[in-house]
Amino acid sequence: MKYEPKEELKERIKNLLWEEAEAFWDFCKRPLPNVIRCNTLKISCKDLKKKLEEKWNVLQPYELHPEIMIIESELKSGELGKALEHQLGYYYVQELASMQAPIALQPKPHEKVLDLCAAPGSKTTQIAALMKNKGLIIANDIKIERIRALNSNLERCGCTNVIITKMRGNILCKKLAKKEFFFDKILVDAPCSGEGTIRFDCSVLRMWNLDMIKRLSGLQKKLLASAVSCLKSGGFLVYSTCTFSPEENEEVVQFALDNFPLELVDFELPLKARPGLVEWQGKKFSPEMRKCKRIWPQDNNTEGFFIAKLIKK
Amino acid sequence: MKIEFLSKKQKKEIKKMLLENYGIRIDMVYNLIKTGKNKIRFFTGEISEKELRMLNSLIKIESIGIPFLNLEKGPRLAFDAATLFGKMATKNFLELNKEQALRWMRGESIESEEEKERFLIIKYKGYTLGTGKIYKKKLLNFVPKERRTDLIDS
Ligand SMILES: C[S@@+](CC[C@H](N)C(=O)[O-])C[C@H]1O[C@@H](n2cnc3c(N)ncnc32)[C@H](O)[C@@H]1O
Repeated sequence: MKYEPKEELKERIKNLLWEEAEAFWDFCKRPLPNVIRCNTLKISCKDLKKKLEEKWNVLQPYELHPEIMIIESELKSGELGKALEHQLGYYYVQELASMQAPIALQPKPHEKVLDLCAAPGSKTTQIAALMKNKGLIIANDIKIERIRALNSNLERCGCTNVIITKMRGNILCKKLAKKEFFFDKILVDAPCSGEGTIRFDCSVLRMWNLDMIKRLSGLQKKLLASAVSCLKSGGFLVYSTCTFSPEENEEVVQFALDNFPLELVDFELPLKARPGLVEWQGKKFSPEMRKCKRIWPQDNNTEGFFIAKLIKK
Repeated sequence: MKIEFLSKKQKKEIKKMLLENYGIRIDMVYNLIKTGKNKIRFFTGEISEKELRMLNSLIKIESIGIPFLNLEKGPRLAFDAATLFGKMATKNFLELNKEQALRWMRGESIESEEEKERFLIIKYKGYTLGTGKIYKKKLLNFVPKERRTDLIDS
């Protein structure tokens, strides 16, 4: 790795993983596998696999999710993102762990879905595919350059049921709630410290510090709280991050449970995941927190992720 | 942004054009939305025009649906719409050979024997590669920069 983790981070990971911490850091040095998601809005998984097999070795490791494909062949740098099938929107290059949040959300055709922090649209395009372009998605972000990428990805993938907005997530939700514009499902894929993405880009190690985590935790609570205000009762919300720090995960979920009519729900994923924490640095969380899922790189050869699924009573 | 639903009549005309020109019949519930003078977007979001207007005055809408038709010197089917609907085309399409497809996806215009000025859907080995225009014995290229590539076969 180009950057070494700070002692403080090493200590925290040790407190999360104990004897496995070393295996985790070893995994962080390994390159990620090449994973793509077939865009079923444009081509069937069977047809895409057939086309790609003319040039690459393609695995479909998850029976229930044929859209997830691993390319085993040696690829030139940038090849996945430049291949013709990519340019035509037949697939999206997406990390396996990141695919799990929409799988947990289970959006259906004809539902109304809010993707509050959407850019560059890995999950929005996946949600549109699960909805078969039917229903409505509002995909929001605040950064204009990232919104450009989101827009381009939605166009390339033929996601036709999406409206893109550019606002602070909490302000957007307040405005929508005031007009009683409510959603069946909401994804809050929050901005986070990115500890789970070290394998992809180890520069997060250089930026990492506790102040940032505290600041992000505050923002995450604000985003989650506002999202609840425009969720229908009986509606589902998935809160996810690509980080391990409990301040950005369980602590945020605990804050939501304490202040809003929410309950954690169980959900299934094709990946191995570990339960959410019930305690961190002396702070106790609800025993229900075990329903959250922590995805560790060493468990499935992925990046790291945290997912909580909540229902509004 | 300015958002205007096309009227039933305008939509009908466009449907008829797609069917007559290309044999394309889109069997989805959709709306056509005008966002600029000559730009029409394709949108399947389930929301009424009234609600959409309310949204548009309330929040900052950056984009809606995907580009569909460009009416300037058109109607020309946008690249990403052609790759979504083009496989249904039964007429006015042109099949390229490998060498032509390579040049096409690099963004080059290609010599053509055809004379009649018109738009064609471009195909290669079962892929749809957007639309081109026959003009003065050339097939003019409209592949957007972002979609161009050298990698059409391994
Ligand atoms: C983890 S990324 C989202 C990744 C995206 N969901 C995907 O799957 O491609 C978090 C996003 O939140 C956006 N963001 C940061 N602060 C925000 C805020 N206050 N409101 C809305 N979005 C925000 C960032 O610009 C960033 O694009």
